[in-house]
Amino acid sequence: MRWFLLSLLRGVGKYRYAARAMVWWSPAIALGLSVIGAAVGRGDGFAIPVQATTILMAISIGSALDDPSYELLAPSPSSLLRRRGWRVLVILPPTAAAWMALVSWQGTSGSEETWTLTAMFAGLVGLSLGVAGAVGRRSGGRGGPVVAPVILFALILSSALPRMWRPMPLGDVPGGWSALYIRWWSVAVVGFLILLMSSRDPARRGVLGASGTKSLRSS
Amino acid sequence: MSSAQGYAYSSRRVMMALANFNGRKLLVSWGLIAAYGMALLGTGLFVAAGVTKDDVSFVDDGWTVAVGFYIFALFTMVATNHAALRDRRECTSEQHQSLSADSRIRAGGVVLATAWPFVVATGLLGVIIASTAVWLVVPSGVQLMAVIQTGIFVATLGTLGVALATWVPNPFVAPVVAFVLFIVQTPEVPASWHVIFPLAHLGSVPLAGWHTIYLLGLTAIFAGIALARSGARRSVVAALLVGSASVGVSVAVMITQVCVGSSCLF
Repeated sequence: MRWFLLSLLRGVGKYRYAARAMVWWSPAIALGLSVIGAAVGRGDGFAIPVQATTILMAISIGSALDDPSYELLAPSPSSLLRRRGWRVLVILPPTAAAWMALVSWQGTSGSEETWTLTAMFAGLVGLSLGVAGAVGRRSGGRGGPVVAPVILFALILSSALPRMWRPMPLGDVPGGWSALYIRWWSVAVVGFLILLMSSRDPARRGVLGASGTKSLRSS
Repeated sequence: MSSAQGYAYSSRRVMMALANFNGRKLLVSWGLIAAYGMALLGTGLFVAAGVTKDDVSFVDDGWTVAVGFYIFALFTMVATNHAALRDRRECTSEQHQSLSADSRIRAGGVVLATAWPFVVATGLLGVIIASTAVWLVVPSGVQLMAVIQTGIFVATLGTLGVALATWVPNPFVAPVVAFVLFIVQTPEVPASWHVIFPLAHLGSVPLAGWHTIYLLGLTAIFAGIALARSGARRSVVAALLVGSASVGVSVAVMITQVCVGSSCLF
């Protein structure tokens, strides 16, 4: 029992250290703007305010991976994946809870729209983390500022395509609700995979560099 | 030349040097590269319509060019904001404070650097309009005014990006403002207050001229706000006063004239 309590406390402590090191301004700004948007657009029956809440809350998550001590902590025993995992565990539950509260406050037209918004939130969270992870790996842990412009660019580019080919649809597409679910969940999977790929040990060779390692060993 | 005049002269030279340096960096920044892509996409859709359709016209099909450059302006704002936050991002604020060029001069350099994207956008729009004039028909006066306003809007949002970086130094804010400007649409039923929308298409040359003055006034206000953080000098106060007067008078004129009786000149 004592061991269980100690391990629980240690787990909470890790949360605390990760939370203390994170930048909370972006989620705070997103939450503030979303509350204002929800209060203004509540009950008017349009999808735009709920979608705007979803997009704002989701893209603010990317800044959680910003780590000014990225270079300093690179040789620490705690791997990059584990350090990023703690940060995601810290930011995701409160943001998802706030998003759910805001969406239920604004109201949706039915369960299909709610599930589509959930898929959109998951997709944008995945993409946000993926972009922040990939850019952060190349810029010393500072990928957060690039997330929102990249997602804005992707959303605009997607909207410019014919409805049939939109990977990130903000409106109706051929195939109905199921097509919307599939596309947004696909975006979530792709984003999450990018995050995993970018969170590999920075000292290891790239995926395509395995043969290079072998040749070095053989020589 | 007195020492005060000499200081003002050297300050202007430093500001212009910084503006040229920042402007060149802006043109190859990822924000502007995204902006070029969007402008090219809008123009490409117009060209594609011209190739595939028989009855192509600038009125019915040229809107994609306008939207492309509208998004160009949004990404210019993101890029100038990113440039203005460089000191904060790289933790070089304290180092630069030890230089002889004070924060007003450095902020002025970034504000003036927005002239570079403005020149590029205006040049690209000029090429498109010239090609359209040769290929289709010479655009009308109202259409030309709309094109001029689109170019000025790039400078307006560029200075807004710097003002945001000065007063709300968080890289998340400018993309959110860009996103809001992207989704905000003019309501379907026209009303006189819609003249405040940045690219409100007004149906007469004099009113479009007033709308151009409105955008120039907004640009002066944003530039003044960006520079006011470093201290309210005479030039900053003058920019804010002139900008406010231009916006106030132009909005008053447009609101009273745009909707006459039951019809609006949108």
